[in-house]
Amino acid sequence: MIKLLIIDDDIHIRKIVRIQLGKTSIEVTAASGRIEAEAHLKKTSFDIFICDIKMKDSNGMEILKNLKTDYPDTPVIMLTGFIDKKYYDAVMELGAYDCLTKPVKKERLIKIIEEALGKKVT
Amino acid sequence: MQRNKFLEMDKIKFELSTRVLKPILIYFEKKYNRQELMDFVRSTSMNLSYLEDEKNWIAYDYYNLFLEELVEYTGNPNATYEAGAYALSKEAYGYLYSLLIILKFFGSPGLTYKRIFELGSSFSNVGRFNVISMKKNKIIVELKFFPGYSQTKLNCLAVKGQLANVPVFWNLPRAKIKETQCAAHGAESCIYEFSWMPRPFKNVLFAIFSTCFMIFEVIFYFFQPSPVLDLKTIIISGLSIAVVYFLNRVYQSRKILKENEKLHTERSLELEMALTTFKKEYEKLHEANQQITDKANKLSIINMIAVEITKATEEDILLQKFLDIIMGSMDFDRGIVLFLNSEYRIYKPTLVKLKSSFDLSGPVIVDDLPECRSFFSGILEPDHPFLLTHHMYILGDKPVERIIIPIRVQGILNYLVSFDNHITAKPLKEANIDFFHTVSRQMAIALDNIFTSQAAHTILANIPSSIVIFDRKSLKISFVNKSYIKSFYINPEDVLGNNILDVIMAKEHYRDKFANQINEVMVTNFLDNQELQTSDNRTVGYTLFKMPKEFGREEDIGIVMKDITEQKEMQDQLVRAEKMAALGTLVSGIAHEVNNPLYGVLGTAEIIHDEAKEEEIRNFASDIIDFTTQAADIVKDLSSYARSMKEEKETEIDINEAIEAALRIVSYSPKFIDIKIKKDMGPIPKIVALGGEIRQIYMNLVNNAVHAMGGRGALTIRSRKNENFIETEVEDTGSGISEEIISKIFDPFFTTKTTGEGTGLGLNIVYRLVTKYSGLISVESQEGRGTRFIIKFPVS
Repeated sequence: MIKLLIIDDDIHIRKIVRIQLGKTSIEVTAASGRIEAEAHLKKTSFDIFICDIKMKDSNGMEILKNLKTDYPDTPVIMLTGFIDKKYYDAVMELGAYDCLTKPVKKERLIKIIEEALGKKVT
Repeated sequence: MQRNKFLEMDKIKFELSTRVLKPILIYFEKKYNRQELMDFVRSTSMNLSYLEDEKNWIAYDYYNLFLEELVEYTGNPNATYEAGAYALSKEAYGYLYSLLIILKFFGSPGLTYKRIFELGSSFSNVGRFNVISMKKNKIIVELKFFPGYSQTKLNCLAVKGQLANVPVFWNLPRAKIKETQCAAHGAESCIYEFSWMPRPFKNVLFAIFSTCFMIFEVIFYFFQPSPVLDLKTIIISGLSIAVVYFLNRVYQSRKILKENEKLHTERSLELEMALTTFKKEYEKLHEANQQITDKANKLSIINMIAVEITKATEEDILLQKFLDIIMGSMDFDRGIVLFLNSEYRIYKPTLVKLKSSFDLSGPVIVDDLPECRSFFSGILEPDHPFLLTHHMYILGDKPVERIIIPIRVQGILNYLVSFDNHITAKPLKEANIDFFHTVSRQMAIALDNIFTSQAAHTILANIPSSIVIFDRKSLKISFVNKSYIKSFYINPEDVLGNNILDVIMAKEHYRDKFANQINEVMVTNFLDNQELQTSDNRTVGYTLFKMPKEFGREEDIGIVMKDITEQKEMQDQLVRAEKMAALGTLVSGIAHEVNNPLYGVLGTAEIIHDEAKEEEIRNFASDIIDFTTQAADIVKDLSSYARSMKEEKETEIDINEAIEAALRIVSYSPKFIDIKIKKDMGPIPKIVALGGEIRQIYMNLVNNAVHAMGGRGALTIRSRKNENFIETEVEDTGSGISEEIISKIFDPFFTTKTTGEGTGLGLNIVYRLVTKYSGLISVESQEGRGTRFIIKFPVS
């Protein structure tokens, strides 16, 4: 059972991601921001994180920094609406596994997760 | 009857015979008239007829009183002396005078004196004359008063007057009187010494001859054979006497002639002396006249120079005129002007004025010779002209005396003027030095003025801004500088006297605005940062200024212009670039926002694709509708923004709405992460403006605020009406602006953002747009605490 935490302020995104990964062996936990994410992290440990960059009351970059500090071995995939390369470069610099631009097709999302974990998730 | 009245004892003492008063009475009568004499005598309480009777006597006291009254009456202290002249006159002797005339042939002044002194005792009972010694032409006599009588000054004068006139009877000059002692001054007696000129010898000889002849006649008469006195003899005797008489007359006439001749000689001598004196006086006057003429000449030179000074605008012309005037009025052969620079080098052709012509080549002056340089540099202050007597080969051809006049302008020895007589070799006058000093000072001031005005003129002409002066009412141009002619490619003749707006080809609709600006500048003195469009679509930036009062041309307006077409175009390009940069930020924000719903649409469509249940599919389709609506809204904002960029017509704008729109657009920006927006917006009147420009003001300010807060903080927007202003504030809790840079933030291209993030034009655009709508912008900032921009627009 693979545990995944998605941090995004947009409930639609959280819902879509949950649906996209619904038929896989991944258990999706969703958080709307930094505080919710921290709460989940206290209770459980996760195998992989998906994090938005721009959120209403949280900064994805800072969350990424904290995650890489606390869980250096856990891959973090950034998911953003931005198309600028500079965001890509910035998050890769901070240790993100990859930075995906919304919208992301289900197959691509699963493929990236599998690559990040180094195993099949079906 | 009358007689009795005057017979008073004190007056009629037997002391002096009335004879002594005789000359005085004659003197008085001659000086005035008989009536006055009678009145005068009466005033002394005496009767004239009494005094005129020689048998009568008077008191010595009365006599002295009479003399005193006489002096008082005539006002002449010497009256008693002068009266003495009549002692031996015809009037004094009456019929006896002719006898005296005959007697004088036989007598002499000496004998007469002696006789007078002897007779004196019969006239006077107060004193007596005693002859001390008697010589041929001199007699010394003592006047001794009897006891009880004393001499008085006036009597003394009267006595002297009578006695001095004795030789006059013989046609001799008055006797000289020496008073060795005077009883009136306390001496026991008066001692007089009378001396007179000797009688001419011929006269004496003639007297002897005629006497002898008479004796011979008498002898002949008595001893001739016939004792009868016959007629013939009497006639011969009479004729003889007549001949003698006429011979004497002839002699007398000759004597008079001789005397006259002598007198003439004396007179001519006197005249000659007077003439000499007169000549001397004339020479002095002539000299004075020459001095005055000289001074007048110099004054007229100074005046002529003064006249030239007022006209001259160029140094060469003034110096030429100066040489002209001096050479024309003073006697020099040559005048030279050397033009020196601050290193004592001759930098211009030497100006030489000869009697008749100007010569620019001048004498060859070798100014790089050390002697020459040291001569120039040796002319120290004060700038006094001097006479150069030794040979200065550096100043010319042959040794010649010169007057050197140094002229210093602004402390630098700029000119050496020299005057000489190199042809005639006439000596130069030292006296002219002072005059040249005055003139050189006058010239120095004039040249200084020319320099100053030329400098001002040159600066004005060459300043790299176009300056035009025109009349505020007619707009007619009275001055343009070179720069204007050059930069606007205008023919100078087409400018002066023409309307400024015609000359700069301002667009027609611009005229009213210009008139208003002129009215404004009359009040404010200065109007900066104005722009106008010309009919050939160029942009002219200008500043208007009023002429200062002191200049005395209050009707004149100055305008400093610059063709800013290219600058303006470049600025517009930069503004476009800034807009593009803003758009870039916006696009990335929009993309972010649009991608979210798109992710929703995509994900939902994927589900629908795999979903079989109809109800679930309907729910998902409803989601898709939501996502697409959300995306459409975003696109709508974007398109409204894009439209506002193209707006060209001013409309009534609600600033609050513009702020809201700006906030919405900026909120899509990726930086807009964790920012709380506080709004404190009150009702405000609308203003007439381009909506896009007003939105841009607030977009730029909000963008900067977001940037300053690094995506986190509080953004406060306020708006309210404050008197005649709409006051809005954009306040952030960001990093603030340091004091060092706060003065530069409105400058174009000033930015703290990294390359690519901003053009540095944001706040500059804000500033220009705010001032375009006559608004004011100010900033308050505290480093580390935040910044507040305050914008005020006047209520239109």
